[in-house]
Amino acid sequence: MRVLVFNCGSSSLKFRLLDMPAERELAGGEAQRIGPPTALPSQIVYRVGDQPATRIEPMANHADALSAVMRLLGETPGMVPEAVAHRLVHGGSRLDTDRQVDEAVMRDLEAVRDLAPIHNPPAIDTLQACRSAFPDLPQVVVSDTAYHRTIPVSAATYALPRFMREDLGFRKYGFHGISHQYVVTQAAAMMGIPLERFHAVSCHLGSGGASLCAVQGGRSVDNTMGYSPLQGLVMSTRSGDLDPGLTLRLLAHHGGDADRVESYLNRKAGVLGLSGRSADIRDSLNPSGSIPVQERAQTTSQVYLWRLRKYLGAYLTVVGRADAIIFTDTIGECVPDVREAVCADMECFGVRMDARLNRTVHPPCDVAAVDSRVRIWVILTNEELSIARSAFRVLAPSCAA
Amino acid sequence: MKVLVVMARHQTIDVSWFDGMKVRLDGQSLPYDGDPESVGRVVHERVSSDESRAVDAIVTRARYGGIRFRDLAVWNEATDRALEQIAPEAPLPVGITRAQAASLQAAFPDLPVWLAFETSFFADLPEREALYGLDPVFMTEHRIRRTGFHGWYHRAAVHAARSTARRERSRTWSRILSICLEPRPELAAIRDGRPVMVTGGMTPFEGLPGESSCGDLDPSILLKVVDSGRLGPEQLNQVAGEEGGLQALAGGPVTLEAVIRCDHAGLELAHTVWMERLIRAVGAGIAALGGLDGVVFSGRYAGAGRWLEIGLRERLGQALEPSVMWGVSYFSERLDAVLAEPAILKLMACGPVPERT
Repeated sequence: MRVLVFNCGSSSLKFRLLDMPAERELAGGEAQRIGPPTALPSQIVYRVGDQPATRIEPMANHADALSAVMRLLGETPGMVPEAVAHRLVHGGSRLDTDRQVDEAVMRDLEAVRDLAPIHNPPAIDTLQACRSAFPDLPQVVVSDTAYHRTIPVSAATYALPRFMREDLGFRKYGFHGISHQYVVTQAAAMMGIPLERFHAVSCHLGSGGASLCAVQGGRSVDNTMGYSPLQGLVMSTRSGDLDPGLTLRLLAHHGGDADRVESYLNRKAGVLGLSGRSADIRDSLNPSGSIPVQERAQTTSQVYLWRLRKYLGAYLTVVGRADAIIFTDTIGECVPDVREAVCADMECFGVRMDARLNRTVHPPCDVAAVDSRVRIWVILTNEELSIARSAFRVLAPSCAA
Repeated sequence: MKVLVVMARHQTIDVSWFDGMKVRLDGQSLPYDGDPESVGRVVHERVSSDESRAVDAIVTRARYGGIRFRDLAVWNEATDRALEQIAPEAPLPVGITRAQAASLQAAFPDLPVWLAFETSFFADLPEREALYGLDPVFMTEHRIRRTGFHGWYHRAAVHAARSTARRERSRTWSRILSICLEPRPELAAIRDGRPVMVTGGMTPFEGLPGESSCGDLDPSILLKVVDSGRLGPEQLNQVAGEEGGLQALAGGPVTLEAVIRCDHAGLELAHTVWMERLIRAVGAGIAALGGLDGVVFSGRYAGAGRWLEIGLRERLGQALEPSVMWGVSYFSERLDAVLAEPAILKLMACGPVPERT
């Protein structure tokens, strides 16, 4: 079955066509600069087979981008998708499993549209456009929060009055579930441990967002992100954890304008706020410039790494007898300094890194020392493949029938 | 040598007398109207002139001193000025401290009034722990940093750990988790006597949920509620500090001790949520310390630590290497005794107390 995976950004649309269950990539690419005209034209950067190419296409919205991608694939024999899978960042409690799209799912999608104001609306609009243009094509929606539906009530509950928990629906959802699920499944397979007996801490450290996931028996039991992707680790432009009293003080400072505070905490805080120069932690780990700039960079990296280290210890304790720590995504895969810093002096948890291996890693690779009880894996994440697998799982029974 | 310890709470003032050996001679809980300016008068009315003559110093608990106050501070004009300068960091607690201290000094003009700041233990908290993920210039301007709120209990935990290690002839406990079981509980990771991590934040709202305080929250929750118009910032402040926490999960007023013991089904949600948060904080603390030598329970519910110890041993038995040996100590002294000790030491350091006539 040829499954076309769509992964929507606010002004982009990534796509990947995979032959399932062989997991062979047939085509892939990204529609860029979707929206009102900019200095540079909208374009699709793509490859079909081994041939990379770029095509200029006017794309005023995600529906235009979808049409352009479908046209492009239709030009090559054997590239017409048989099913489409859409990534949804926040499925809330309504979309906590991967589901084939029907009228009921469309109603649920509308209900969760505002839970992730930047990411959900374009994904839902793309799905809606796809459904209108290709009504006979089966579609599946796969959410980043679905993997975390197994987080127990004890970890998902905020100590807030009942009306806020039940009427307003404030609870921990967790994010990056598609990536966590993928690398956890890969690590368990590579270690030869059945998934249902696999315990781990998965560290999805992106150049933008980042989260840790505590995994017991292959299932998520905690995630550093919470009701929204703002909670948890210090991220590129997101503050992560904040004292509730501090949030209220920021509100007072900004004249009670919640949107302004939310924008500040999501876009101008984190590594960018701490360093004052760059949202990329790599720039703070290897600083250049004047001594004050370097000192500020050093503080930035210390705060970033310290928060990460504390959460790693917290989740190793939550998990119990961990089999592995898994590092993935841009920072997790490509920055050995980060892996080394957070795993240093963790022998009490049975964690020992092989420093040489860690610096010469070619993922997937285990960089733990020989005598380390807990293995330390570096695994390239593949969210599109994970989505295609989920879609295939959902659709295969109906196809067989 | 005698010290009078004064601790003003919401509706009562606890006063206790200690001798030079830190023996508690007497103690009373005095009702009052909650006005910090009346503390001195109420205490003076209770303390007979004979008793006041016998006392060499008054110690009163001060909740917030920022990084400016790192030790006991005698109340005088300079101290008041310094407090005035740090008032924007924590307007309410600093205001209360200034009013209480002034009223005590006015009531007992011949006695030194010493302020015992809860935050002094955390004045040197490393930046990586003290800072949030925000612009440091903004944080400095607005005096935003993590401070911790049960410094005196944590300080006492260090001494308790040393005593336990001596008594049990075990190796020195240099890496301690101090778990203060007060209505607003707090965990601190302490290495060689210095804090390296604490669950309390810039305010006591952050960290472990308390009897009425919410503990850690996704920041976007508060913003979303304000944006929806359901509650305003003032109401949310009330929710976070007075209407959240364990009572919100239990459906009514409840003590931390009852939640830890969990002897009826209505407390189960509060119990499991609190235990999960504690386990996470313990794990974070161990990572901060790079190991663990001992756990010290303190606070008014220190005894409930015996229930926690069972759970902790089970969970840490799985998470930590078998070679990691850690002990447990219970520090069940009251806070007034904890506050009396440094005052007595200070008096001793000052030399013989001149006899009063």
